[in-house]
Amino acid sequence: MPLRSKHFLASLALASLAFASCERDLTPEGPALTDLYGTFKVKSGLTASRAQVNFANGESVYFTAETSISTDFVLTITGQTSGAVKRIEGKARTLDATNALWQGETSQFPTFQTEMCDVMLTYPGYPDTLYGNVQVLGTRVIEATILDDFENGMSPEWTKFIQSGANMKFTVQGGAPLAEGLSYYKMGGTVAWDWLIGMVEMPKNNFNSGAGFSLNNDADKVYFNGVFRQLAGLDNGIILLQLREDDNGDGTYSEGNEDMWSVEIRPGSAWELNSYKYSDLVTLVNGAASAALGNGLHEPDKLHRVSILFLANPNSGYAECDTDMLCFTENAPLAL
Amino acid sequence: MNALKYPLCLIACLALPLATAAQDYQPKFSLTGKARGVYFADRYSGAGDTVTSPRSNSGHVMADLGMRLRPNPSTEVLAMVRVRNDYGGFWGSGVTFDLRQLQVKGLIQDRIRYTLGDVDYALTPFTFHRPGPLMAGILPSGMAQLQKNLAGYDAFITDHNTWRQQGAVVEFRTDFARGPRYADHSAFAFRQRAGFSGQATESWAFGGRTLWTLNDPSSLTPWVKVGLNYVGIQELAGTSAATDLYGNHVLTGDFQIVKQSRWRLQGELGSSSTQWVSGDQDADYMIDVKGVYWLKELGISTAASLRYTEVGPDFYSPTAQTTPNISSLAPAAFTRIGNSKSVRTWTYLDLFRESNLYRYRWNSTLGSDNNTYLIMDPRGLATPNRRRVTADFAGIALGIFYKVEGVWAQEIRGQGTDVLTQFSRVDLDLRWPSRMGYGVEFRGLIRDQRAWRTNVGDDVPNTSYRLPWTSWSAKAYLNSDQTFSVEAGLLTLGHGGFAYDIIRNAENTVLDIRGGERSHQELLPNLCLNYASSEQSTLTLGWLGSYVKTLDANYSIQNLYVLYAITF
Repeated sequence: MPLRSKHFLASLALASLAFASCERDLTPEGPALTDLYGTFKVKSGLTASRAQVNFANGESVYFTAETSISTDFVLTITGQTSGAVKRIEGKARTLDATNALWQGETSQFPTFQTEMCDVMLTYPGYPDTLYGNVQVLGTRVIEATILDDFENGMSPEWTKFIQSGANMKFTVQGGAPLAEGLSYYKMGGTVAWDWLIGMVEMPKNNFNSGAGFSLNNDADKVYFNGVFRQLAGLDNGIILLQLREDDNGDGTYSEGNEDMWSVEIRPGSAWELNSYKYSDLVTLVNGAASAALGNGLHEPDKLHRVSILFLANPNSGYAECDTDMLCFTENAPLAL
Repeated sequence: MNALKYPLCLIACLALPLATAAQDYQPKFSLTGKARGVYFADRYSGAGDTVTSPRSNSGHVMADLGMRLRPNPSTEVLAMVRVRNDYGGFWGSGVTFDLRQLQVKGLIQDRIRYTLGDVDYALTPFTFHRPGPLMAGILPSGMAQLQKNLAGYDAFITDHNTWRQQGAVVEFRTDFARGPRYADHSAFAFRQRAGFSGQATESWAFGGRTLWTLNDPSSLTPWVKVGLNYVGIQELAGTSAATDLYGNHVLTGDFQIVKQSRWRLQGELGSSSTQWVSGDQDADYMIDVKGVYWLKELGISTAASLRYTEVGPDFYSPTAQTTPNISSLAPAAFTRIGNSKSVRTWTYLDLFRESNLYRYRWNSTLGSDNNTYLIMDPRGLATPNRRRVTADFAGIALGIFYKVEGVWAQEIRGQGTDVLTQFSRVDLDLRWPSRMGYGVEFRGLIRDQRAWRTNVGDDVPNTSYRLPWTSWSAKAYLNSDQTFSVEAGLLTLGHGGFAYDIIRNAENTVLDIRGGERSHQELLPNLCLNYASSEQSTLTLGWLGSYVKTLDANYSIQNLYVLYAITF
């Protein structure tokens, strides 16, 4: 037994050594205390990584600055011509390509044009404000299956239905306030006997010379996107998106027997980009989620047509909503 | 270290009724359980408080009726039903019925013990170990009895750091003709979360222990035991749509070598690995080694020990690292106080009688730390990110039992800085059992805990935190058979200084560190008269006070109480 004890103790010592020799990550946890309790100072000013950027060529620009402590920052890029705003917020000691990268997107519509932009860096809680400039030589290219961006009027591939109400407006418009590009589609009117004021139908057989939408069959990867707003002072307008699927592949949509996924949108007064993952869409009956009408499977590759219905309570009077950049994207929501 | 006694204790608890059942006559039906009647008359007083009602009375009578059914000598069914009636709840109003425990246990071929249903289970302090109540072991005896009979009993707290679980336990012993003498094995599987037909991801805890006794006790050679422990917590794939699953696995080995009456060496080594839902992984190890030496020339009760413990910052063992209480809950008594009706933060008085302030189940993550009562080891011995050295010396001088213990600890990984926080704790525990009159017992305990960290940066406040506690009690027996006794106790608790609270997310990542000045003082005097008709039955009439002073509160709650408790 003494021999066994010696062996045991030797084994124990070896095991202890083996454990103690394991490497640990001893990087301090959490935010640095010197950041939380240190004195704020700007150590280096705001600088753009390039003075001119052409997003159309796939270029991007990032901004650098450094402070003595990690703190909240707000970087605001404003187009001098368009008034477009890109806002980047975060918390850091150093701004660099990881946290202050701009690829031409917009936080507040309209989208940027080829223009000179003002850049402003502020630190909430501190009075310091840093300024800079960057010139946009080319706007970003949108990678999407664009149903319509209304830049050249409404696509002739789509069909409109407009009720014979009062003050009806279903037209492409330009001028402020803009969303994407220089044009958008306005829907408005008063229909005292029906919720439906008008609608736009986008059948796949008319799209891309009859080639269809060519969407991915994985509903988790497909997003429907659109930019919407409502005339300031009104809140009665409803935009109902309907996506009908040809479940049985016979080339037609059989009403009530095949899936129809819907989204009800009640836009605010400012332009807002709305994106919906295809697999999250539901069946709506009178605005309430209900059982699927067809096979219950989200099948973007079987999408038969997209319908944009403009609705309002017939007792609510005049209603008006605008829309722009209706498109499908793959793998991620649209970034404008 | 108590690592080795728990499984044996569990085995004994489970085995004894059955072992005796096989040999002696046992009734096919018997009753077991506990009955309790308690009444509190509280009086609140707050400085400048003209809004809070000063009086609040509460009380109930309760019986836990455990029906023990033995359909055959090797099977036992226990169903314990709780009937409780709040005083004033006549004619059905205020009466509640509840199921407290349901258990089936038995023997297979007289060799394998199994238990199904509600089980109290514990392993080692680093694997499966429910934390004891705050200040367990140092409370004045009158307060300790109050806590044990009320909140502790209701919250399923036992003396063996067991968690109340639902599932199955299997135990058996293997004897050997040569080599090791025998090995005791225990395996468990406890359901943590039901799947509810795919609405949640089902979670189970499983594991066990095998303890090998290598030789027989002898005065010539050391007695050697080695054990292997494993605890896994795993969400089950396929029970919901979730594909990212949480899993935690802790594997340790432990040993004990005892040279009778001379020395003992014991320890535990192990590692943990954690798979988070986000896909991140953490793994780390722990070491705990303790040596005890009995000073023979000074008598058997004089002993010195030295212990080194290191628990890595990423060593996560949820079943051993969960804090005992829920800090965010408000107490039921005087929930809102002050002229602005602010929610009162619970204090130690509330821990005596409100079981809902205790955690009934472990947390799968550490959660955030606060430093109200503990700072060195808020999660017990298995508190992660600590290396520490403990030394103690115990003996008798002038008829007084004394024990002095000193602990120094340090972080292993800094929190927001490379500079590590240091901790210290010194305990002086004195006990004097006197034969004056019919018997008098005195006890005094002084504890000083500190935490400090300096020179982190020019504008960063130093950690400078102190938690001084004292506990005093005296108990005198009033008659020769010691059925009547009177007790006086005084507990003083405090903490103050500048400390940092650690805020973590659900995957133990530190999100924020919030520093601030703290100040908290509690004074709890207690006086009670006991009548113990037997070891299982005690009637107590007492007075208990709680005087609290913090940065934003200054109040007292005093109560008169009557408590009768009997275990049967």
